[in-house]
Amino acid sequence: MTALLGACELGLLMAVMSLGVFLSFRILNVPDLTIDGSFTTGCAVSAVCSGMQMHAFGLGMAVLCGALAGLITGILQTKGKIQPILAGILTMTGLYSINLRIMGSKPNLFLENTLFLQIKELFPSSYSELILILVFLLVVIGILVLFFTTQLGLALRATGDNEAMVKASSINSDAMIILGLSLANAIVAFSGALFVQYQGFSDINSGTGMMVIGLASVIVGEVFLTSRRLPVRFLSVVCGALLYRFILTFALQLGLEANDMKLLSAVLVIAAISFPHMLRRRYHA
Amino acid sequence: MLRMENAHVVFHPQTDNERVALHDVDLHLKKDDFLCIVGGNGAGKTTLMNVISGTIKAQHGTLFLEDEDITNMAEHRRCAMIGRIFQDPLKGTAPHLTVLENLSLAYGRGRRSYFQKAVHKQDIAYFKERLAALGLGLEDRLDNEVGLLSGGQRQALTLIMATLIPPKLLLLDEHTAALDPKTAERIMQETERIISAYHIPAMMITHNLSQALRYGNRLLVMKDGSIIKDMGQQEKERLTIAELMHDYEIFS
Repeated sequence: MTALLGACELGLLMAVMSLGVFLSFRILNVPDLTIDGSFTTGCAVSAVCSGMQMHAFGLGMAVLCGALAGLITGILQTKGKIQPILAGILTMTGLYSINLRIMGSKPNLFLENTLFLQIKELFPSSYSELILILVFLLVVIGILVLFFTTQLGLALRATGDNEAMVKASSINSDAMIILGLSLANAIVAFSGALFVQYQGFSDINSGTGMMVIGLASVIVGEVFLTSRRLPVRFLSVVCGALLYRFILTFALQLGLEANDMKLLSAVLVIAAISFPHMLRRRYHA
Repeated sequence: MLRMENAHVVFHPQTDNERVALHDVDLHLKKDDFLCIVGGNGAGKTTLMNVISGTIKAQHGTLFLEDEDITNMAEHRRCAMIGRIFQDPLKGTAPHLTVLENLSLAYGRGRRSYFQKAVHKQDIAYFKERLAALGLGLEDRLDNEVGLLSGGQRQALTLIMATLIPPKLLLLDEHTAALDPKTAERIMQETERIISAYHIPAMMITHNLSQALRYGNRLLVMKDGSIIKDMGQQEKERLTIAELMHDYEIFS
């Protein structure tokens, strides 16, 4: 039961992060590796702010710093004419040093007090953490749903679909890519900050592999729930993140080590992407 | 209307591959001009359009649209005034958005306010009216993803999108070349109807010589980056395909 609750909590935390991945990978059609760095940035900023007892402020700052990371990747990509994947890798690499600086050159920070501990004091229940995460997740989804009903949201979707058409509609597609990457990384950093508040410490390597986890959530979600409607697709990402976490938890219960999780993640993504194609080819052969 | 002076474009300057794509071209377009451009491959037809639309920048030369200097204006800003349709029917529409979403995006051209709602219900009647004029039944498919439409339907939709807000200039870059003859004919007739109904000055590149003779009031023949013939309505009416072919053979 505790394992299940923990899996739900972590799954929902990763759902927030996966929504950011969904934004760059599915909406903008860009595999953005900044995410591994910006997640840690969110962790670091949140941890440092919490050290000064400014938990909520830390969440806001994490969002801002994440947006800034996305902004840099976006500018590298559009104005610097660097290939999207490389632009993300460059920002991620640079962020490693910056993240260390934010954390005062310590590879990890432990927190005595966090937002989650405070909430638990206020509402003592074993579900208080889960509910708090759920509230944050719903807020993020709500903002995204609202955003995508605007002309700006539509322009962003169109940019990932057909950049030439977007330019022809007198929209600055470079600005759309920069905006989209900023938004995606702001969400990722926000989830990093929540992650730190949840587990009470920040590690310089927290972000490693986040892109793959996000991808896994997006793709696993799509296997089970596909729709053209955006709100349903957000829901699909959440389901994917939960499902993915359940699979990992199950694997851990079976006796796999925590160190094997990254390998399992990679295999899962490969399977989710390639299996449907391989099966189809067999049937058509 | 459109005044291009001394537009000069060199590809790969100062290398072995240096090639002059446009050679100090002057072009004046009058209001209500429907100009056809013919010429062999590499004559500079598309380069001419790219300079006008801002896709590429000329080495030197000036460009005015309705007395506004647009020589250095960014492409996406020019697109607020200049509509363009390409040969590839997939290029003008976003496949994963619906017909309605595509139209809504195009309807914001040059007057967008980003935080308004993406789709306005009161615009739908106008969209339907414009689509119905095509006679393709697209007005009943507003909620379909554009990727589900055929090439001809997508090109028809692109035509409507480019003229939803009538542009100051419409550029047609072989926009019917990839379609089957019947659909091509339909799109061409519809293009002409829209151009005259909304008084849109237009430029059309074509390799179809009978199309070049039948449509428009002016005909340009290009070769090696220069305009070698500029024929008006009367001259064009007297011209036959054989004569035009002859020109082609002499000049290309």
